[in-house]
Amino acid sequence: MTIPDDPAALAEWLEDAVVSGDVRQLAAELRVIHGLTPAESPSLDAYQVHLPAAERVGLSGLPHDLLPRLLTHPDELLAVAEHLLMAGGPYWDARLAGAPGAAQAVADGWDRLTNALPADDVRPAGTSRLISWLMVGAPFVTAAAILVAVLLVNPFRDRGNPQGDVAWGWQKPDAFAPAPTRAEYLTKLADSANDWFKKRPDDKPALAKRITEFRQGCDALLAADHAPLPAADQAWLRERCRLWRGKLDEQLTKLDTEDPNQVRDATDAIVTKLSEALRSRAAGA
Amino acid sequence: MNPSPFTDEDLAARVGRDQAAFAELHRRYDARLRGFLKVKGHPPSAVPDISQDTWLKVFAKLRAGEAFEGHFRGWLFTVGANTGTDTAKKRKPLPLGDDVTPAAGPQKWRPDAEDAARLHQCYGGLSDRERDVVKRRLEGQTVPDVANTLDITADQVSATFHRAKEKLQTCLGVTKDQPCSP
Repeated sequence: MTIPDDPAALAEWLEDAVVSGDVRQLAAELRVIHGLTPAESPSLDAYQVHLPAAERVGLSGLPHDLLPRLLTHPDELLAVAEHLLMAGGPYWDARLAGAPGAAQAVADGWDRLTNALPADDVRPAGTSRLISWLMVGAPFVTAAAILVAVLLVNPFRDRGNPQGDVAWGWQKPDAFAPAPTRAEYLTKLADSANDWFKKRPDDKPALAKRITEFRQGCDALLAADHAPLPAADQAWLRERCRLWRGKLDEQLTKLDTEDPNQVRDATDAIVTKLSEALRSRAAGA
Repeated sequence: MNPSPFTDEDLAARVGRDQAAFAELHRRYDARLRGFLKVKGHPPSAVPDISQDTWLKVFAKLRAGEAFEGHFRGWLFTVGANTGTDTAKKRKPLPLGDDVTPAAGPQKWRPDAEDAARLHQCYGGLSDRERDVVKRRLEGQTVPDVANTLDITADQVSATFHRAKEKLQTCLGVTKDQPCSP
């Protein structure tokens, strides 16, 4: 019922339904309004030739006369949605990532999953840092240069040192060592976060690597047990860390199109804020 | 879809040795898998569990060195679809909609049947004009198109559509901030 007046906005409206998970509900509503019953095997014949375009650029890649057809053929809408979720390209990754709550759901899913994996399969954060930072940074074209350099030096070899060569911030071996009080523990986390400022990379590959390493520190922080902290502090810390990680991801994405100095400044601000948040929490009751 | 130097299949081959590879596969596809499961009709509350069970199966199979045919992505969605079907079978069936009778065949799990029945009832409570406007708007006709067809003004179309929407929201118990559809 929120269908846009502007036909040009119809594709985006339908995509919102696909990526938000509401498309099933929308199809049910459309069936009622158009007096239809569910079809057993909806055909995609009408769309087949256009699907590759929709995989690349979204539903705006469909001819204009086909978009309204999705409204009057809700089972085809579901079939198209299913196809695009399975086969869609980076455009759909970006749409899914931007859906409200999606990133949090995936992060929560990963946390639950690591808890459910057999204990001997769950390796501590920090293991195989090489592939980890390659993976996290890999979606960014700028990371390719770093990748080539690293692979030439050390192709696919797990490091003997589980901390790898990234020994700063929350990836330091003693980053989560016990402290006498919760305040000291949180303050130490803030101090470790400030390691960020010890290097000031100004080119894209180096900055991508540095941000990726900080982001890995967030992963390590999420995986650590933080025994000195009460449960409420632990929950707060993990919730904040997921937010910080998301903000770092945003900066990595911006690095593809924006000036690295601007991205570094923005990351500075994020680190400053998170450090302040930790100190403020430490000072609280 | 992934500018990463590692293909899905590269990562799948590494899962037995490296959890980071599994984490990356999860990062790439969990949101898609969740969307796929919702399109398949699994209730949103069940999707996290089905997703987790799917990934656990994938992990176990990859770690055991079990080969999959074709691309990882297609295989993942197949495992997800099967896991969802198995989960749905274990669930207590919900009441059927008016359009399906128990005698028509094996009982189907119809997660949206109750909602559809309610919407059907609420939609039936609209006036003929309101239903006509809603139907045409949800066929993709623009406000001016509908106005021309029904020989009324665009403002009247908008007002009728808005009124119908409010009636439906009230009938369905949806708040103004929570639209019936996206």
